[in-house]
Amino acid sequence: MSMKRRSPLHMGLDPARVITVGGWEIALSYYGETTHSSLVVSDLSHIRKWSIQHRGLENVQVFGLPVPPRPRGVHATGGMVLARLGNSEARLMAWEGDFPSSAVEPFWTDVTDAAASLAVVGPRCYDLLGKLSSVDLGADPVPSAAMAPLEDVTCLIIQLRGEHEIPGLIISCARGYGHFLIHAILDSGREYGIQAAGWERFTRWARGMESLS
Amino acid sequence: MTPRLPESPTQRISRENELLFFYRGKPFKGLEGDTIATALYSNGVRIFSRSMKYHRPRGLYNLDGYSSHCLVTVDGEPNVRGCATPLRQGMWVTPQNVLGSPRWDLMGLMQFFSFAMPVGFYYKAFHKPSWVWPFAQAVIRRAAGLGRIDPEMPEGVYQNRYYNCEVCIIGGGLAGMEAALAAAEGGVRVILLERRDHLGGDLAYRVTRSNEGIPPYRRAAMLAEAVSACENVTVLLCTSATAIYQSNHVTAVKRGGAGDPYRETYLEVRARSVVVATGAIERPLLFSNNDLPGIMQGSCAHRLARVYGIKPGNRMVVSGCHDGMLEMAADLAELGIEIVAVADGRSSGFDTELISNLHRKGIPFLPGTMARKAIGFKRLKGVQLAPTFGNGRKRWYSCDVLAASAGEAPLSQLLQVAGAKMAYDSAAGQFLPGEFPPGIHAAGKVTAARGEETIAAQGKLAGLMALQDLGLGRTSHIRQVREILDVIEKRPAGRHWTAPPVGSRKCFLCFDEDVTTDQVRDAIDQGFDQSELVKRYTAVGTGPSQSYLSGTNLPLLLADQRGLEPGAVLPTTVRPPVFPTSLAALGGRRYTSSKRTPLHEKQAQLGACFRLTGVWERAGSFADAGLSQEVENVRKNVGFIDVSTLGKFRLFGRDAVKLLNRVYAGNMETVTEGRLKYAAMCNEQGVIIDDGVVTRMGESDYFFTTSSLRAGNTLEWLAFHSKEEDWEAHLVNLTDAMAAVNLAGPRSREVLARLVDADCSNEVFPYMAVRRMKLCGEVDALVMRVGFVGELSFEIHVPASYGAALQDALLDAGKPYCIRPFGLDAQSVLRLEKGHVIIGTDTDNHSTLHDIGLSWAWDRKKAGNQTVGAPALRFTETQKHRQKLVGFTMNEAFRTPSDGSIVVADGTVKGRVTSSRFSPTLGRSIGLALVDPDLAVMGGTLEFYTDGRLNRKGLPEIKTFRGTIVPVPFYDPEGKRLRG
Repeated sequence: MSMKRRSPLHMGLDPARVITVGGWEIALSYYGETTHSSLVVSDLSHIRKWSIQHRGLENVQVFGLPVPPRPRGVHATGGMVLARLGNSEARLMAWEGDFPSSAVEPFWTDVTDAAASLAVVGPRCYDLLGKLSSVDLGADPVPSAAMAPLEDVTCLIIQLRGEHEIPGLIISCARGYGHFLIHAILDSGREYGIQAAGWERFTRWARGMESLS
Repeated sequence: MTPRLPESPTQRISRENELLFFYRGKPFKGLEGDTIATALYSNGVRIFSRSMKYHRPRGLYNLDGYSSHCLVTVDGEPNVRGCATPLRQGMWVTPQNVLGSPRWDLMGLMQFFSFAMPVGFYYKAFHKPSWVWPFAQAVIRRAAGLGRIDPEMPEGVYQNRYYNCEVCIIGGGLAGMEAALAAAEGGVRVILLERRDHLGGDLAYRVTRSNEGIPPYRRAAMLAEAVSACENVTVLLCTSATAIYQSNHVTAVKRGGAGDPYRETYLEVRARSVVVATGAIERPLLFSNNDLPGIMQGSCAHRLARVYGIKPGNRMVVSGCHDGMLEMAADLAELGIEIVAVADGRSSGFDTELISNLHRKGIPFLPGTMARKAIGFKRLKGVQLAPTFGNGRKRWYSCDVLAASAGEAPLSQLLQVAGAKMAYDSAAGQFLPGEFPPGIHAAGKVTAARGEETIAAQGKLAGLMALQDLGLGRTSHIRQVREILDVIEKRPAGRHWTAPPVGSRKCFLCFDEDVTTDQVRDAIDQGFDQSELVKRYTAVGTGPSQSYLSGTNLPLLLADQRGLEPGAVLPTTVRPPVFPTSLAALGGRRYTSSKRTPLHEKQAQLGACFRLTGVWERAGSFADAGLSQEVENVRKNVGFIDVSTLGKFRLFGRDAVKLLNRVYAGNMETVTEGRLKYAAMCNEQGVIIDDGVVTRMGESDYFFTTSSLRAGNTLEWLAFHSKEEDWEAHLVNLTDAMAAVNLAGPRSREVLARLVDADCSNEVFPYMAVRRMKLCGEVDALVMRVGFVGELSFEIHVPASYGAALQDALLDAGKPYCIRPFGLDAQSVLRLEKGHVIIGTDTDNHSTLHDIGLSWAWDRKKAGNQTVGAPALRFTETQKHRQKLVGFTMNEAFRTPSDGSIVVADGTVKGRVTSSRFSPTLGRSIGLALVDPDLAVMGGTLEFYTDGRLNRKGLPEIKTFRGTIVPVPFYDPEGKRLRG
């Protein structure tokens, strides 16, 4: 029998088009998805994630990208985000390109399944965040990362700018809180007309954030 | 609906959009832009409510929600401030605190017996004989209170919202807008909070031209436009600040309008600097019958006409103490309202231009005069004016509206809760805030500033000072503004009225609680001579309007009555929230933030009944089977339980084993690849706090599990106990990364063999071994041969995204072996039969490894590490008085003491039951108990006290049961099934 992988996030909509990659069924688009909604949310739970822990992070190269020099710093390309979380820990999220199925170095740990992740993209993404968290991202440069509570769940929040300089947030929390995360985002975003968006929409936006740091 | 005044640029109503609403069940029409109160007023309603104590009629008094006069019930929600709540289509408005109607209120008879209900009467009356009081208390309580909560009221949407900014400005009037513009020039994030639905403050409805020739409303509009055009300024309208806490943490409530998806939003604004520009409020004039419908604040009458296009009345008398009243009188006369007379309590300090304006319109102006008495029953009929000081000529005027004000009082409540000190300023005739905490500034009328240019300059200065707090302000700019302030003409405020010259039973100091000036005098006579004491004795200022209306008059009256200078008695302490906030808004919208395992949905499909265990929702049992069936199936066939909640960690790095040895009692040097080691974790007192298994995955690379409840603390625990060391050890939390299932039962090996491509025999895969396997030929799984329930068991770990697929695969492979899931309830019985303890359930904050028979898990000889808890373990090892964990069976097979039942002997408590269940396998009740050492004798008898059913008095009946201490495990003591 074929084993399917499941995302902890349920958008509550039927996908219009789906592809299967590595056991994951990924929604390329959803029924009723429009191109001009001011706020969209995409499921990123399937993207590869690694925890990189090393004493000398400054000297570590991750697929050609240096680890940002300071905690909360982020390097982003169109298919990869590398965030430094602390003195000796960084988090890599990657979605475009060929990545090895196992850890590249002994100090890498595959944490793909540890987190529920989504992207909230649109000019109102900060308004939505303000309904769930007191974190102040406005004082930080873009891109940057912060560990902050959404309600009372600790999340990794990475702020980025993608296609047409449209702001977006990649939010990750422990996978067990996935149902909370998607419900809180969709419910809080209703005021701003939030819509579920498929993988195509996200990657199009993400390609616009070439080499942000 | 009566015709409105002709259109003017200051009006904020839409004449095209009529709104239908219902008042006392009858349809009424209002206009978009109206409040409930103005819509009712335009429909001829003059009595809105009745006062709380004496049920005196109360009409429109204020239009900013600062009085209790217009509290109504709206769509089932009581105590809605009609004067500040926008009218919506279809609103169902009912008056409250009336028996009948506001006009004909049966309870209105109470006012004729006010002599029998002096202040604090319930402290003194109805207490003798003592049996009277319970009845009196019930009657008083029924009569007291405002509004009735309707349990059927539809639930509203309330939410919380967080903002961060560099400068937060409270108040969107002239000073607030100038401050916002000045701060915005620094390029910082500015948030402007305004309680009304538009910016401009008092300027927004005033038309009298200033020296520059621009009407105030036009100036307000221009400034509002400029503020809105600033990209870095966020304007939040309909937002009332409720407090300023430490570190400039501002809280506020935003009321939702017709198009908003919420009723109220509770805001938390974190700013680096705060400017308070809340303005001032008119304090009530104290005179006899000063609460009659028809008597209102000057600004209320002015806004009624200029903002809502409603004539306050036909014949108006004005009695004020500040220039705004003079301007209002002239302006209303312009609109066709007959101004019978304008009295001003001051004898100097007027704006002469305004007086000339009154004279030009033929309006009698009476300086040094104020209202002394009003007549009327349900509405105002006339006013007596008399000199402010001394006994001069008294004049009666017939009128239907009296605009009355004793002067302005700063809205300084926010500054007070922020820590500012109040002091009386004799020049301004007001209590003013001073000594602001760092990062807080004030501007405008809240500092008693007068005149547009002074207020504007003050606002700008406050904005620049806020920038200076951030290190952005320019000293030269600040100096320039200060120079402007210095050259602005400063006119003396004039001599101020402080206290009414005569007393009266109907001269109300506090409208909310029906407290009169006479009653305050009585309170002073009884020794309550300070504001705080009078407040507590008379309840003045404790009603819905708090200290907004009575806060200044009370200390002035007290000082006057005691023959002291004004200011000798200070106002009462202000506490947050300074503006009423609903509890629902404080709660906001909350989301369930419990964790769910990767198998959650699949378990739900099997009928799982979930319950919260720590942060996790876990299956307690399954609906289609009883507890006994779940237990028996594990003992006879095979079952599986979702154990994804177990803490799972990778620890790697050169010094990883040192860290493991630090926190675990055992010797972790002996952990090898392919084998599991049981590990117990103790705290500094040697008390066991966690347990799990550890295995080695590679060179300096370990994987270990913890109990579900302890997983969240593990990271901090390990970090804390290695903080002094320069160790290279990295911990990765994989708790959520892996789904885990414990497959248990005599047929479990056969089920596993159908799923994996590996030899699962006992010889190849023995007890306490761990193997990497391919599940269904495609998924990497980590399989551990461990068991908690006393049967042959395999713990299967897979990536969490495969959790649901794992359950499907197990059910499919186990179908021939009668596989079924089991929950926590069954697991609790199964592990008890095997005698396995649950840390935290069968142990407490005193239980060491020795106490629960786990001394073997401590390696006293391991060298080179300071194991957490080792000294305490050495110390407690030989202590003789320590409680021991023992197993027992019940003498009556079907009696089961509840967990926590006390163990008694010789009339004293000797321990407690930690867990007890009926064992379907053994056919009798069994349990574990922590008992004193003298009772921990094999074969000894234990006596349990446990709560029985409730008796007729509702108290639990205490029952005693007996049990016998027996060896543990109860089931399979040789471990053949577990290791077989």
